[in-house]
Amino acid sequence: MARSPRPRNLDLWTVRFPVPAVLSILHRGSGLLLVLAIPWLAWMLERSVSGPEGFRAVVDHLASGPARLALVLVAWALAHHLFAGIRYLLIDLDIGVERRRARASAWLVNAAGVAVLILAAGRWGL
Amino acid sequence: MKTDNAGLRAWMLQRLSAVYLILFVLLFGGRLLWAPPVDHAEWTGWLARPGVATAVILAWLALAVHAWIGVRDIAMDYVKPTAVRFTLLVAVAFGLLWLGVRLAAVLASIPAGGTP
Repeated sequence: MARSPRPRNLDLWTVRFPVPAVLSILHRGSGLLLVLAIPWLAWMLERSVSGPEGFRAVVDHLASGPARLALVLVAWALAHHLFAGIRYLLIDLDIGVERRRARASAWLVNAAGVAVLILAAGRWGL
Repeated sequence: MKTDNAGLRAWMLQRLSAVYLILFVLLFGGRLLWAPPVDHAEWTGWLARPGVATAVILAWLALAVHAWIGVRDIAMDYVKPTAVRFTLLVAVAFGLLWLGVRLAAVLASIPAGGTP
């Protein structure tokens, strides 16, 4: 059986993403990033508790370039995931469902995530 | 027994765990940012407090549920080969369980009442 030709648009540059769609994709991306960060965070917790020497090793590790970069990324991911998650919970409670308000809150969440990214980059000296 | 409301249950668990994680991240993360522990004694002394240790264990429970459902949702959308998806999800599930065992061991390794 021949497949009927479906309309396709694979040229992503011509696809316009509404702001809530950007928020949604970043919510997934940040969630995945946070899952990937779990082993690193768990390692630091275990090492820092192991003894005074381990605690100092983690403090030194966090002062290194790669660790600071990872911290900034995790800070953004956590902030975006948290803010977007709160927005979804409010929408579940019928708060901000209307399109204009949903768009406005999506802008606010995306911007707040970027603001945390900038603050974290400043805090950890990137 | 497979029920036809499994999707709804995951949806509800995702939101319940989210509410706990929001509170935990704000309180635990806020405390670490405002007053970072300066040495090992202070750090373990704080973690060993019954309230803090209980909150951390509950956070692991919420995180395991939340991360599992989240990874499952993403895998269902993007990882199509059944064998790959199954292996990935089993690996994530065991990873999260192993994390809980290690976390319990770490918290138990702190001598009780060693530091105020």
